[in-house]
Amino acid sequence: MKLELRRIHIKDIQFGDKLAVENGVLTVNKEDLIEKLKEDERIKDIKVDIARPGEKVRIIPVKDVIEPRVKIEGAGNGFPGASTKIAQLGDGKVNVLYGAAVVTVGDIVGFQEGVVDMWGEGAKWTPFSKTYNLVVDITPVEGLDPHTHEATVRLAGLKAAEFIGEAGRKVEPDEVLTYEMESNALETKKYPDLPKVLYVEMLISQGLLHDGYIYGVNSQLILPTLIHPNEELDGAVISGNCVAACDKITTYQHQNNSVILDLYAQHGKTINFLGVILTPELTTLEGKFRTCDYTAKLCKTLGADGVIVSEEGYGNPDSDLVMICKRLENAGIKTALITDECSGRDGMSQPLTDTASEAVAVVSTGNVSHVVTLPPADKVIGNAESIATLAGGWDGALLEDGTLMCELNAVIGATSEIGYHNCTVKLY
Amino acid sequence: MLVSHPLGASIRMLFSPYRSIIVGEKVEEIDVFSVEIIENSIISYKKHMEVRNADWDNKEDYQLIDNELLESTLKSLNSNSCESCI
Repeated sequence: MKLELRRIHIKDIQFGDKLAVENGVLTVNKEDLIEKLKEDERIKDIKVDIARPGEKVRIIPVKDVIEPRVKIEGAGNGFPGASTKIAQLGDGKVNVLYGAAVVTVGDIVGFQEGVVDMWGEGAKWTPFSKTYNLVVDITPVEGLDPHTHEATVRLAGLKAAEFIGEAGRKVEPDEVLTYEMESNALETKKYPDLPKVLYVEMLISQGLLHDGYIYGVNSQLILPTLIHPNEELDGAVISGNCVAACDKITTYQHQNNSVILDLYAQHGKTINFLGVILTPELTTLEGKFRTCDYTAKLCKTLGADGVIVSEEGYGNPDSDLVMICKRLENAGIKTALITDECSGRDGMSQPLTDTASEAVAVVSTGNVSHVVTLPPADKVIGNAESIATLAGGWDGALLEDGTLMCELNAVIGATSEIGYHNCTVKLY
Repeated sequence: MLVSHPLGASIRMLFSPYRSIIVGEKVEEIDVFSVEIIENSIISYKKHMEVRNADWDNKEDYQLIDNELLESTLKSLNSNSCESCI
């Protein structure tokens, strides 16, 4: 498969009469976008706003972030299986509005978190403070059941990203990134001496607001499955999960999965990258055994020498992470885990709910319990009342002047377990 | 014997005043794996709730999500499991 991600560098977003990109400025006709999204009769109201890096703007509660793109060559524009007709992804040319993002806001449940601050302390912690954000606030018609409500908001975000992406169709890109990998057999012939490495990406797959989708299929319904890394980079995996703000993998992060990009960068140099296994994180123990056994079996069958495993969420998925690690290490496959930590305010407690002596290589992407102080915003896009919820769940504080003390847990993408975020590790 | 995991999939769900857990009926011997998960979950829950309060303000939404997750779990058990496994 060969995929070209052709980046058009976006330096600003403006509202205007037409949809276009000129000299790096993305112009969006707000009314046209609203009209397009309201074609879905389940949507009552749409508000569209712009949030730029550096502005004293807070977006809350964020449901998903999506990178606007358009496929100019090859099958499958948009998100096949989810928002467009099914197609085989992974081949072709995609024009990417790089630096822009569609951010969806939608109150599905009152306790939902998800802050993006575009300035100051908050901006340091989320990768989406650096993107020019087109914020789409979706209000559905009354009386929708929660599943339909969630699906409506999810779909509206994908549709908005497709609609905006069209602006880049005829624009020459500023840079072109090419991702090409042939069959495992051919790659292994090319690089016979390099260790074969698989990437296992775990997805929360547990029910309402706790699901990831692959080609539109709820990952709760699948056995662990092998996909070509290009498919994920091309939009095969999307997020329907919006409770775990700091470590949910947004659709944007799937489209730009850092683990995939880093493994690609090493492919043919230090490793032979075999592909991606998507593994659901289920709630039943039987389900966990089934998926963990199956994941390990796939890794063994494909002849992996090493496996990188990334988690999504915290709590019961820790069991899956540790179980997969045990099975792989016991099969002689070197395994590295990527996870965030819930290690208390001081960072001193045990970071995960489960442990195993086999887990000898673990990368931490940050402590979700770290407390940050976020000053009040000049403007709140979304639901300002959600801010009180963030402070209300613990003995933290919403101070009189509007300053909010909350855990990193509430900040979108703050401790991304696929490494698409701002925290880093220093060696002492 | 545990059928579903006692913990949710995110730290936010620890604020929930509700959490339904499915346990097996046929207890003939102690399932060590279940015991380990139960103990780890209790330790983890206690650790987090030392500095947090249950979020009663949103109790209806937590009820909804707990119910949805429980139904989703039951559905997967019905479609995937043999009777003797539960």
